[in-house]
Amino acid sequence: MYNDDSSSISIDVKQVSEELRIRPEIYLKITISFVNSLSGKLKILSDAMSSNDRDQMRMTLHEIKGTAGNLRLRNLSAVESVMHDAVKAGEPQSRLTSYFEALRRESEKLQQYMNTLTRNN
Amino acid sequence: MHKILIVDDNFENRMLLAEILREIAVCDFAATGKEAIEAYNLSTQRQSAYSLILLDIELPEVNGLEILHRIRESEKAAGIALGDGVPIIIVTAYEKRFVEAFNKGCDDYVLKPIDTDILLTKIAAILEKNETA
Repeated sequence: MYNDDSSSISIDVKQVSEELRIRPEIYLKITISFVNSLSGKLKILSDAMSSNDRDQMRMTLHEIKGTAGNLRLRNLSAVESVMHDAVKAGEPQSRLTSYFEALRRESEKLQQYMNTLTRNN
Repeated sequence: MHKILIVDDNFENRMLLAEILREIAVCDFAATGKEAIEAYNLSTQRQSAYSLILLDIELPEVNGLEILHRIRESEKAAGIALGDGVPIIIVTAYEKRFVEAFNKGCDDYVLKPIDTDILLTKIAAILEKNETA
């Protein structure tokens, strides 16, 4: 179960860049691009939930999972993972709605964090 | 510099892989299965074959396993023996599909989230093997 404790997001750009062996400025560019694309992905996910299209839900969540994992966005990965498992397990729509809200909130927090990070750099 | 084709439907994953590979390769990109097959066909027509293909499994239009199958069939038709064709590394989060990927002729696999050290080690091993062959 995802615990939405509003924990602060923290990305150590230098450390993650070193781990991935990429330039920090490129890591930031790629991460900003991904974070900016999240609202579109969440819209697709929301539409899929409205029509109970589980295949589309799985595909969209899988895409978020892959990139969030690659970019070491751990909070987002954790929230995504809960919803992904729930979709795969066939959990009822009411549960999925609450997981989706957690995912949406985490995405917004990440967006705000990246805005702050880029303003300060 | 080597020439590598990165096949992934996600823009950020393609950019990340290209950045990881920047010191060893020039990269081409394909976002769909159709684009991947076109890029592969074009490279063989121009006789500028790829040193390696990094292939995601979950793709729109034609999935990665089908691309793998088509490339190996195309090589077979051209008289290229299994193992002498373009090296293909599957990059995926779907651990369960590796057996199928190996059966269809992939050379290796890398799990997502990407571990750069593992990825570069596997690529280096394949490129080195091909250079000495």
